[in-house]
Formats: sequence, structure tokens, C-alpha cells
Amino acid sequence: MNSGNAVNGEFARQEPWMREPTIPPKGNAPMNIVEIRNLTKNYPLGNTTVHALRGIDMDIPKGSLMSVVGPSGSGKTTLLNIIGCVDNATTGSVKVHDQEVTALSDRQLTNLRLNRIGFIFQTFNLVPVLTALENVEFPLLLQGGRSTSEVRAKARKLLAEVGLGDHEKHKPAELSGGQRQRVAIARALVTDPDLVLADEPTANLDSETGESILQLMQKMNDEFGTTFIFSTHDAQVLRYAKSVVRIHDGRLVEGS
Amino acid sequence: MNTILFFAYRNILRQKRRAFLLGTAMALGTCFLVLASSFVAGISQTLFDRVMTYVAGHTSVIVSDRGYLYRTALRGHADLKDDIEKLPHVKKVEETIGIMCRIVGLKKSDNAILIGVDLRKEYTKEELEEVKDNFPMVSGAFEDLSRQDVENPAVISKSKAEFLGIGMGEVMSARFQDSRGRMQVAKLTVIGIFQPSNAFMEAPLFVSLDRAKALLDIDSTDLVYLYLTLQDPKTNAVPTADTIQKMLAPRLAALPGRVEFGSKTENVVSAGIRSDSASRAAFGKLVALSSEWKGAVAVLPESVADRLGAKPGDTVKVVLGISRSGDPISDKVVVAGTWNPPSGSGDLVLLEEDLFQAARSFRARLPGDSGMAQVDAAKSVLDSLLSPQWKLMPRARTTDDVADQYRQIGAREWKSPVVAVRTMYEMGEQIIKLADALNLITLVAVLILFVVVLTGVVNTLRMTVRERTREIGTLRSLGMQARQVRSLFLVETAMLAFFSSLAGTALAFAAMVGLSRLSFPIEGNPLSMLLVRGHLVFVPGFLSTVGQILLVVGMSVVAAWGPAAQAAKLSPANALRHYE
Repeated sequence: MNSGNAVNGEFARQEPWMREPTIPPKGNAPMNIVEIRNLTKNYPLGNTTVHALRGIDMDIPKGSLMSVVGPSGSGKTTLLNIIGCVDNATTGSVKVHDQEVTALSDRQLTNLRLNRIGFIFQTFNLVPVLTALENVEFPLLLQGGRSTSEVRAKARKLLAEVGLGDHEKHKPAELSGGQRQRVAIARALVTDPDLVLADEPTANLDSETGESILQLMQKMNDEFGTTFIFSTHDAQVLRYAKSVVRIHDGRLVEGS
Repeated sequence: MNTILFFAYRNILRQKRRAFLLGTAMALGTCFLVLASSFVAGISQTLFDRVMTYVAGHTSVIVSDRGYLYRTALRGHADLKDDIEKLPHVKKVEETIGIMCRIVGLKKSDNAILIGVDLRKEYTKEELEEVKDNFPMVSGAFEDLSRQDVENPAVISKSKAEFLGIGMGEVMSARFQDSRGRMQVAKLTVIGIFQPSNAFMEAPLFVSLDRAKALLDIDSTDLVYLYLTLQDPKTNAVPTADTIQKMLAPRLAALPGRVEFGSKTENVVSAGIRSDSASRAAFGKLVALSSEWKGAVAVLPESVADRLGAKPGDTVKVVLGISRSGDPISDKVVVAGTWNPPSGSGDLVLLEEDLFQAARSFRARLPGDSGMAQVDAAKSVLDSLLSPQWKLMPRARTTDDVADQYRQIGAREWKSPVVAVRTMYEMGEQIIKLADALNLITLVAVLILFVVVLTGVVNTLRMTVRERTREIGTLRSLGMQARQVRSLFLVETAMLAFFSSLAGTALAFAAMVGLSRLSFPIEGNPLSMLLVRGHLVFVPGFLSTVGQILLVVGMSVVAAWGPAAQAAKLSPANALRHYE
């Protein structure tokens, strides 16, 4: 499961529409997996403008397990969305894996997400019509270039890693909240991403389950060196983070 | 693509009720489309393959003489039928003899058409099935038309027999004019009664073709009215007619004969000089005439006149044919002048066209050379004044043209026989327009239906996109390209449309089986021409059905394009933020 292994081979197997020369191959990772300079993000809201981020500067080293902490509406999700290339910055520079993402097209950003970034959502966001195993398989199927048996084997291995080896045929509706989030973690990790972004992963879970999820993320970070950035407004879960940044009204107030 | 297909399939199953309702609408739409199109194809086939074949033929060669149709013939030109049979796309050439007659039954009398049936011809299994379909027998059989033990065996429709008050084995009499213009009366014996399959089949009585020819005094060397059945008549009718038109270009008419004056007789070849005023005037400038060029008049070659001792103003006897019994038939003709035929024309006697053509039509020819070479040689002098073998009508293009030509034929504008080549397009323009109108009405009705169905598709998909906005955000976050999102919705719609249209097609076929078993009355039913033996006819074509399924799938995909593109354009971040 080392992200530095089969990476080049995987890239070569990708379908033509996935090959984008602007994305550097895995294995040449810089020290900082994310570098943000003077990042602002404004949202128009009727006749006014909401300043969600007001000049963020931060570097996130590879292999981090970082927590972004702040109250609701502080800009945590916006920050994660921009790092995860699902949202655009208004101004500033965002480099992910040494790649300036503000200059990439939608297609290139999608490729970057598919191959380098994993997502874990507060509300799990599993595809309801797919079983747990199929949900985990889905990103691999989007990548293409693997046989069905390869895809299945890899997804099964991940599901077993998150402790759901015997739930692979269950649909999301048949799983508990904690189990769903475990499936989501397996799905986020199945493509061997360098970076996993988790937006309030424990917000919809009871504290015991939430802790088990964070322990799982910690374990994955330790074992595979995958960078995890998770947002939370719950001070109880901070002990799982190796570093913490605090954000308030769109500005960093602590950490870097 | 497999991932998209798999995912689309699961999504269809996600909202079973909605998919079922939308699929049902699509299936019903397809069902109506296939049903309506098969019904119109059935009507079209009934009109083209049954009604038109029997009423007009896909293409027909019409022979008319002295204003009469169906009971006349081009004497000695049966070989043209053989040539026409060899043309490409010609399935069948049928000689058609129709004798308009007055039938006197045991109770009443009625006008009827006596039609000749070719019993010597070897019919294919398909043709026999067609005959059985069109003329289902109540009693007797068409084969009995060849019976020799009864006088003129005839098959009659049930309704006509009931009206006339006659039954099987009973005799009715028919009064008619034969091809030589003589009134005839014949006894007909009913040996078969059929149930007419549609309104067109009620009127005719059938006798064998040989008997019909004998009744009309037409022999085997004569060419009668021909009905052609073609392969792919819609495509081939007009080109075939145009080809036949070229084949039927007439030459100049000639008739062997002899001229008698006193005790002397001279064998000659005769030609006709047209009798219209312009031709008469032109002829008067070429030959010095001592009497008006009208009626029984002739211009003799000077050599013949010398040998006979006849001079202008004398009355000579001209023999231009023989009777049925072989006796020569002579006419007294006034010598209106003499002329010097050009080289090669020999002893060419020039006759007024009316007498000349009447002899050609109504008398059997004298033995001997046809004399056509001599007449051709005279063309250098007499050119367009010579009477042709027949008048070939220009190809009619519309029903109005046909009506105008019938008016000209009825007015006897030509002394020679008239030949016209027609297709069902001119003959049945109104029927074809009816079929086209039915096609158009069906198409419009089905399109309106589909606009309604496709509005449902658009609305359902818009609702689906809205409901699945967060999921779209998730998929985009996971790395699904915008165009893959669009494809996902299009494939979902296409799959639903495909399976629904298959179900709709199956439903349509089941409905066709059921509807075609319903029986409708023929008599007094204005729609009876669209029925076959009182049943609706559906003709579903494989290619048209496949085309209709593709049309439904295609239209659904086009309708889904807007909502699918809308889904693809969603920003992943906005989609993830979406809450209902």
C-alpha cells in the first residue's frame, strides 16, 4: 500500500483522457505537499460579498496528519475544498504536489483529484445504489487500466483494512454511520492518494465511533505515510492530529 | 464505458416507481408508434398489393379501340407481352379482359364486369394464397372455370348472386358487345361463389380468360389490356412504365389486300391516310383528288389502275380481311385518284383512315406479307400523313391527365387503336394521396404524443439531477469528468428508453395480433377498402420497427441532453454544498 510503489505503472495504464502532462508523476514528491500563499475566496451573496478566506498562507508537509480547527462558518470547508481542487481561489496561489492548481483546467483538476487526492465527507457521501465494495471500487474503475479482478482485490483489501471485510455486499443504507465512514475512508485511500481531505469526518458520528475513525486515519497515516488534513470544530478530537491550524473569520490564527 | 453502463443501470433501479412510470409512458408511446406505422403499412400494402393490383395494376398497358376499353385488342401483337414479361422487376403480367355487360339473373338484372382469369398460367404458392385471401370461396372453386361440361362456367360474388337471385349451377345470361363491335348474348353457368374480401371485389364476375377471349372474338395473337405486378412497385412502377412506353413506339400501319374491278383482281398492300382536316389538305396537295377524301375512298397506284382499267370516279371492290368463317369481306370504294408510289413501295393503295383502321381492328387479316416495308418506303413522300399502327398516348403524370386521356379516347379522336402506359400513381393518385395523408396524420399524432412523453423525460431528469446534485458533487470530487457525468445521465435515459421501447414493441405486436382477429362488416362499410376479409391488416417491418426503437431512444437522448449537460456543468463545490 505504499503510495510510492506502483504509481508510475498506474499512470501509464490510465486512459488517454486521464493523461495530463501538467501533473507530475508520483514518487517525485516535494517536501510540502500543499503550499498556499495569500489565498482569498469571496462568495457573492445577493448584493454583498462573503469573504470566506482572507489571505491564507500555509505549507503542509508530506505525511502530515493535520487538523484545521475553527467554528462553523470560519472557512474550514472552503479551505479544504480549494486544497482538494473542487473549488477555485479568488486570488492567491495554491500548489498541490508542487502543481499550481489555480492555473489548471477543470479536466486537469478532475484528473488531479482522481489520481492524487482522496475525500472523506461529513455525511459520508457514499453512492446509495452501490454496495460497500462497489463504492470502494468506483474510483479505481474511473481510473481504468485495471482488470476487474485487480480492482476487486484491491477494494477488498482496503475494506478489510478498515474492518469491513464481511460487509462488502451491504448497501450504504444497511450500514451504521461509523461503518459508512469506514467505507468512505477505504474509498478515499483505494487510489493510493498522496493527500486525503476529510471535512468534519466525525461530526455525524457518536464520540466513540468518531474516535475509532480518527484512530483509523492515524493508523493509515502511520502505515502508509498518506497526508491527512481533517477539519473539525470539536476540540476533543485534536489529540489525534500531529499538527493543528486554527482558522477564524477566514484567517489563520494559529499554526502555519 | 462499462463503469458508466453499470452505474446507469443501478441508477435506473434506484427509483423503481419513477423509472416504471416514465418507462411505461415511453413503452406506450412506442406501442402507438409501431402500431400506427404497421397499420398504415398494412393499408399501404392493401392499397398497393391488393386494390391497386386488381384495379389498375402497378403498371398497365391499356389498349383501346373506337372508344372502347377492356374488350379490344391490338391485332397480331401478342409478342409485345412476351417482351414486357422479360423486363426487370416484372413479377407478373396478366392479360385483362373486362366485358361490360348486362347480366340477367332469375330475379333481377344488373350491370357487371365479366373478367377473364388465366387458368393455364402456373401460379406460385404466394399468388394462390393471395387469390384465396382476396376471393375466399363460399362454394365451388376457381379451378372449375375450366369445366367443359357446362356452358361458360362463371364465378360470382355472394352479394351479386343474391341480388340476381341465382345460385350454384344456375344459368344467367350476359349481353355485351364483342371486340368486332357486334352485340352478343351468352349463357353463363354459376360454378363458384366467393365472399368478397373488400368492396372492390363485389362487382366482377369471372370466366376463364380463354372463354372471355372467345366471347369477345380475340385470338391468341392479339394483345389485350395488360396489368403488371412489379417487385417494389413504389420504386419500379414509373421506370418500368417509361421503358414500356419506349418499347411501344408505333410503326406505320399496313394491311395486305386486293382490289377487284370488273373481272380483274390485283393483290396490293394498303396504307391509311389520316383523315383529320390538316392531313386531308396536305394529302390533297400531294395527290390530285377527284372527290372529297372522306368515307370509302382510295388512291390507287397508277400501275394497278392501269392493269385493272379503273380510273378516278370508278367504284372498285377492296378486300381488306376475312370473316370468322374465312370468307373475304369486301368494301365498295370510290377511286379518288391515282399516284406513283416511290421506289420500294410497290403497289401501295392509299385508303381513308377510318375504313383502313376499321378493317385492321374488326377483320382477320388476309394471308401474306404484312406490307410494312412498302409502307415504310412511302414515308419519304407521305411522311406524317400515313396512319400509324396505333396511337401511343403520352405518359400521363396525374389523375387529371388520365381523365383527359379517357375523355379523348371516349371522343374517338383517333381512328387507330390507342395504347397508353399507366402506373398506379396516375391511376390511383387519390388512393395514394389517401395513404400519404394517413401516413402524415399518423406521424403528426405520434409526434405530438412523443412531445408529451419527452416533456415527461425532461422534467423527470431535471428533478433527478436536482435530487442527485450532492451525489454529482461527490462523483466529481472522486474524479468523474464533467463529460462522464453527462454521459451517465444520457446512458441512463437511453437504457430506459431502449428497454421501454422493446416492451412497447412487444405490446404493439400483441395488440396487432388481437386487433387483426377482430372482424368488421364489409358491406356498407366505407372503410371496407382498408380491410382484408373484414379484418384489419398490420404489416410491421423489421427495419421500420428497429428504426422506430432507435427513433424513440434517439429522441429521448436528445430530450435528456439539456438536463444532462446541466448536471455536467455543476461546480463540484456548489454541488457538495447543495441541500434540498
